[in-house]
Amino acid sequence: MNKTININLGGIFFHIDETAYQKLKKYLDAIRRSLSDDSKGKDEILTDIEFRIGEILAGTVKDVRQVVNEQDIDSIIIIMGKPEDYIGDEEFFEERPHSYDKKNSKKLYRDTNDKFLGGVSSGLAHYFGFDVVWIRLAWLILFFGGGIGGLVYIVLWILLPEANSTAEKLEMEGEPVNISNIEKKIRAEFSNASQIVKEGIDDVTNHIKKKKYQSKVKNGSQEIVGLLGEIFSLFFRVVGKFIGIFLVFIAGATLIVLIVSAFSVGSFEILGFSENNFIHYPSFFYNSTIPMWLLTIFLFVGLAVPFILLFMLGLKILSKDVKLFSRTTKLALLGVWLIVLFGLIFSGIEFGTKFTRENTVIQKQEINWDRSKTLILKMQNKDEEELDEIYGIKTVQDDNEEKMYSSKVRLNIRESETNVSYLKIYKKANGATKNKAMYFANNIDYKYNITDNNLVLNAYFLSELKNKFQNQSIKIVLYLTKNTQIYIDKSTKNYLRYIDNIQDLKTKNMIEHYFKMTEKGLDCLDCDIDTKKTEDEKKDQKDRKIIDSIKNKPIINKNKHVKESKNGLEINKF
Amino acid sequence: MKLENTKAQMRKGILEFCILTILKRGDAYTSELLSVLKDAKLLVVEGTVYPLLTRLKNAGLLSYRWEESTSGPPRKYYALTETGELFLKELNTTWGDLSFAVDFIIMNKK
Repeated sequence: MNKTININLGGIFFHIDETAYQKLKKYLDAIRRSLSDDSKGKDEILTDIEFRIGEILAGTVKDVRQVVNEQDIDSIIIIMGKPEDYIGDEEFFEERPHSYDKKNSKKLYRDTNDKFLGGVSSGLAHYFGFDVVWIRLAWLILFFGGGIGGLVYIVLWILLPEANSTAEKLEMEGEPVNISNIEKKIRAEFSNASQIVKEGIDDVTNHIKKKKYQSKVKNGSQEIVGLLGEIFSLFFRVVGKFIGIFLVFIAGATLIVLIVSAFSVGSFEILGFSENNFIHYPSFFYNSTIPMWLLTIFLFVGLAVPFILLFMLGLKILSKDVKLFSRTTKLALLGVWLIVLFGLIFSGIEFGTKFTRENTVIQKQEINWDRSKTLILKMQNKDEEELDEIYGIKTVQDDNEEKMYSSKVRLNIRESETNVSYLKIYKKANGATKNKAMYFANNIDYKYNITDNNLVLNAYFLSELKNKFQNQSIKIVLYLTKNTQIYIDKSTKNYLRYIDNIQDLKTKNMIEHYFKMTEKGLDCLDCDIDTKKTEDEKKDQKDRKIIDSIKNKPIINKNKHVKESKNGLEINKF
Repeated sequence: MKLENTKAQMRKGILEFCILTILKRGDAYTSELLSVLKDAKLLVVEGTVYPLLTRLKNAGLLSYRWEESTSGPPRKYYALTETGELFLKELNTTWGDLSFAVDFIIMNKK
């Protein structure tokens, strides 16, 4: 007992039993697979085949109630041929591809008749209707202005088919593909060829005249050259296979790594799971109009596509019959890759221009305290524990809001030219324009406070998180009136820049000391000069003392004469 | 070099030529075409013809129309277009040359 199914083949109704149905379906699917990629033509061919099968079946099945069985399908397959028989025609499709019906449309090919390297430029020139010189010039500029040109050229070289047949050449040049044009083209080619042949004959006759005498030698050497040529071609074939294996291996491994990382690390980034970033992306990733997740995908695709191509290239070297992708797929791949490339370049440029201008905002604030007391200068910082890190920058919670944190703070002390002491705060930032830079500078949140005689400066500043990467920094200058006394606390150590001082102390030696402001800078009140000076300086001083004492008493002993000369002091023994 | 490939390739060019020639005599529907080709023993299986017909049609050498039939579903009638006729003319010359060349070479063996 067998179930039957009702089917409609080319407008005729059939009862068919289940096994026969499965067989027929499999057969039609197999034919569909073996036909070309062109889906429109494929559907049409299959419809025609279904019609024909219907017709044949209608001939064998006389009674409407009769059921089509497996034998009927088998005999149909014998009449129609195995799926493999349909493949044979594919070669013809390849040779004279598509779009006869899209008559005036141009297609991109490589024009190997007019080539410098691979004929990509002349193909593009035909396509866009420019002179080929401009295209070549553009390649040169692209190549030297960043090197992308070379890569794109190679990719195009691999992807674009060569215009071989006359029809393809016509498609390339955008002339309608019809008989008269094909004829014209062939004529042009013939006259071109005859020109070449003529020149060639002249050349050859010249050669023959010259070589007549050497003909015997030539025969021997030609044989050797032929043999060497064979050895070389064998050698290169073997090396070629190795290169193929190498390419497949490297590209395959890279692709696997890329895919694994895209699914693990990449998806965290895309879905925004990662608090602590696993990878440090190029910094323009974090500050682009293109969202981060898209850029991550771009980065993946941008890396993967060239490796896919390398992989294919490797396979191609290993076996010429390998056909992984159709040309449409390849072109689509190229298109996607170019879009990705432009996306990345765009955000790179966008990021770059965000930095070009710099601006500084200066704030001046008087400070007052009981002048009878020494001013104590301290700095305070956030605890490491309070800090977080996102996208490679430090952040901190401030008023329940996450803010960017930076400790790019410098401090200096100078004499005030007026009779008040004050702080000058220089807030600096970069931006696309001067105005933007000023906006970012103004956005810097910097605080200090003074209680009694304690001046406590923040050793950091905050800004809104969206303003990260504006290269903000702060410089603080403390202007003190003359005779003001100040104590420099240890906490200022890392932020102090060189301060003018009478003792010429290094910054690190100024902390934890008392100073008084004078016209010549700070004067240390409690420094032990000697201990502060280095060993060398001490030795220098000692030497000078001895020399001084010698100078004052030129003759120490009657046996010794000490006199000054231009070389210094000379001591003569008698 | 596979014998089957060479055979198929020889047959294919000729098949194209023959289809056009049959259609020059008058419009025909697929089954008619097939029976002529089969009678001539040019065709082993029918399958190869369908992609070929579609390709010739897409190339603008053939056109088709649907016609109702008294016995069964509508039929696809193919006809030669103007381009097709020109094409066939060229092929005719080529065929003449080729057949002469082949005969000449085969006969001339010493």
